[in-house]
Amino acid sequence: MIEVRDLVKKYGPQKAVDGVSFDVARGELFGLLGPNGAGKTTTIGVLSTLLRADGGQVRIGGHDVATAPSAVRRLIGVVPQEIALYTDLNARDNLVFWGRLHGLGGAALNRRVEELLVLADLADQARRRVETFSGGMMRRLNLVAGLIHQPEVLFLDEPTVGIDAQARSRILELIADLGRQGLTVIYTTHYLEEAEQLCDRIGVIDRGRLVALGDKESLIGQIGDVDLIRLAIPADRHEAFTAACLGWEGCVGVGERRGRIEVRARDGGQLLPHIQAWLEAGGVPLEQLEVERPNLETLYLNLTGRGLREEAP
Amino acid sequence: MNRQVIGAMVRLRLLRVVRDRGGLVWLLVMPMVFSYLMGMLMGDWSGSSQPARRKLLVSDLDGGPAVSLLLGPLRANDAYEVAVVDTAFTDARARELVDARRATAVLQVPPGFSAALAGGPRVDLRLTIDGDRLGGQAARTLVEGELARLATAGAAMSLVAPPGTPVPRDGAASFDEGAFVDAWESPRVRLRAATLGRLESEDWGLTRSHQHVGPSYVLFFVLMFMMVSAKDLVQERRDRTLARLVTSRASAVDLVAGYFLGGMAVGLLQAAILLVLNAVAFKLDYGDAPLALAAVVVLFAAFSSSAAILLGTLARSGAQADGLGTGLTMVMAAIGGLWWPLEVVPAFMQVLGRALPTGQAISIFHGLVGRGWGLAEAAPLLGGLLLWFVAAFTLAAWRLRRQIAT
Repeated sequence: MIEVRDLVKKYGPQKAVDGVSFDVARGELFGLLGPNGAGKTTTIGVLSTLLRADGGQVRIGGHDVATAPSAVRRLIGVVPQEIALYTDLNARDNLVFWGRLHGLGGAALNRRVEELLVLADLADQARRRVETFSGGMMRRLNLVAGLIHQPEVLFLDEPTVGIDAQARSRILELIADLGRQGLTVIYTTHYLEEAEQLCDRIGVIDRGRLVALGDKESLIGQIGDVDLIRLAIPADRHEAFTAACLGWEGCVGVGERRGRIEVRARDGGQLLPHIQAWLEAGGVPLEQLEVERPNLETLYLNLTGRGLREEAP
Repeated sequence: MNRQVIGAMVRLRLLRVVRDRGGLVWLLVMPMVFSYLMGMLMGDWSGSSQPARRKLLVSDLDGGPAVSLLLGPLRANDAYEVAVVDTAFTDARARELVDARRATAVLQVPPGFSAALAGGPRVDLRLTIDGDRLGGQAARTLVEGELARLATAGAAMSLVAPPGTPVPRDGAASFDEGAFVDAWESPRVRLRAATLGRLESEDWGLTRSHQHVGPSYVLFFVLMFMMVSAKDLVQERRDRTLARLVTSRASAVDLVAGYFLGGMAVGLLQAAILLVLNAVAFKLDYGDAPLALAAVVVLFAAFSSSAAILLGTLARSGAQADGLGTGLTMVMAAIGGLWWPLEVVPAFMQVLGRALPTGQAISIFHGLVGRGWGLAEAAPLLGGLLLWFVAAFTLAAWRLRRQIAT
């Protein structure tokens, strides 16, 4: 359904997207995972015809986004990260406007508006001004506004930013439902748990480059059975700890992030006695210790040396 | 162009206006309140409601009875005190007297005035007034009216009375239509007006403050409402609503047309309602040139809508759009003569004011309500307004299309 080949987008001399390639099959829920500033929104911008690529090719439903943007726009729905609605109007007025803009009218438009209000669980709030909605309600309306014309492909750009856990959960359920109905979805997020929960396949993007691509299991498999141990000790002991740690069996690597030591180990459980012994021998106070099993966060850390919630430089 | 898309955008714009009750107050209620208050404040420009008497100084070098007939209406008007002297004034002296506020107006009647009325050689009367003082304008209106009446009556009388014979106020004993038409088309006496420190305002014909205040606040609030709505476009850019519009079926041309026509629809609706309310509440008569009236309203709404889009594409934030929109409207209103008539400001400010779309629009309204203008008289100023609209629209469309493309 979507073919992206060597996509390049520059802002001045800076490459925001640098040679990204991937395919998305019809009905697939594809996640683009990366921190803020990694190039996710720019990629979505090009795919949704908002931005003109500086290189590469993007085809959606067989249409080239550069040469046939109108044909592409008939196939796609876009849900921006921001609440792109007229908040001084009510929910129904908003949906009616977006429907008219997509060529709907009369009974068909009214029927579609009712369906979407039910889908967003806003049927009883249809006449309320959007500006009086909670964050979650706005997000749901924002999402269904992108579905008014029944697109074949839906672009969701960080649709859960800035809402509480309960509201996020409802949004994710809604998206999962859409996926089950066979809609092709491209979903950008920097919340790895969302990508893990929702997406059939995930592309990990960093500094404009796609650094990993696959389903969740295969991605985690790329880093092997490596645990992440985080510990907080006084800063003046970091160097000594690093030197000692690299000599222990099972240690894959040691780094420092946000004032804490991060140890990647083939088996975290085996390395813990070494750590405990070193701390006791040196009388080093331990402020914090965590052991994490392999997940997308550790994958991302392995690939980029940074956490998902850190800004791209 | 996709008419359904454009129609949806126009409906959206009108819907947003109608749903905003606070905005409706500024759209319709405040303009009428301002018109009423300012109209009351400025009073009746004919002078009948003014307690202070204005001095008309007349230099009568004719000495004939026609001068008394000419001054009759002014003497009968309580607002004027008429003083007649038989000494000659130079134009400079007349200006000096008005400038020093020793007289509201100075009328110089040359020798041969009575004879000219009776068919003798043509003469010019000279009236010097201060454009700052509305009583001067009203005095001029009264003198002009009486002069026209005397000139035609005098010409008709000349058929039965020898030159130099005083003209009876009640007219001629017999009447020759040919002589009357000749006198009408080629008057024996003319009034030359000089306005101190101002452009010659030969066209001024307003006698009531509401004739200025009514249309001026219609124009002011149409422009103001439109300009402050520029912040909506800024908001649509920032919250990606514009981006969502771009990814719909709407082309760039559709979006430009939708924004422009949406703004214009609001401006036209507002102007139409306010003009009707002004006509009803203040008994304003917009003249007998509906085409000229429609043209000035349409062109001004079109300019305002374009200027608002341009501002919305230039401003970086809603607050900046709000501030700039309000500021620009204030400046254009003040310089363009919406708050006070251009006739009361110095000459260079009048030139500047009439170069602005606000000055052009209000001047057309003055012509329509006060001087019986038709489309032909309004055409030059309508042309100026059209140029402003074309310039603003071209820039606005260019900026908006650039933002849509990126």
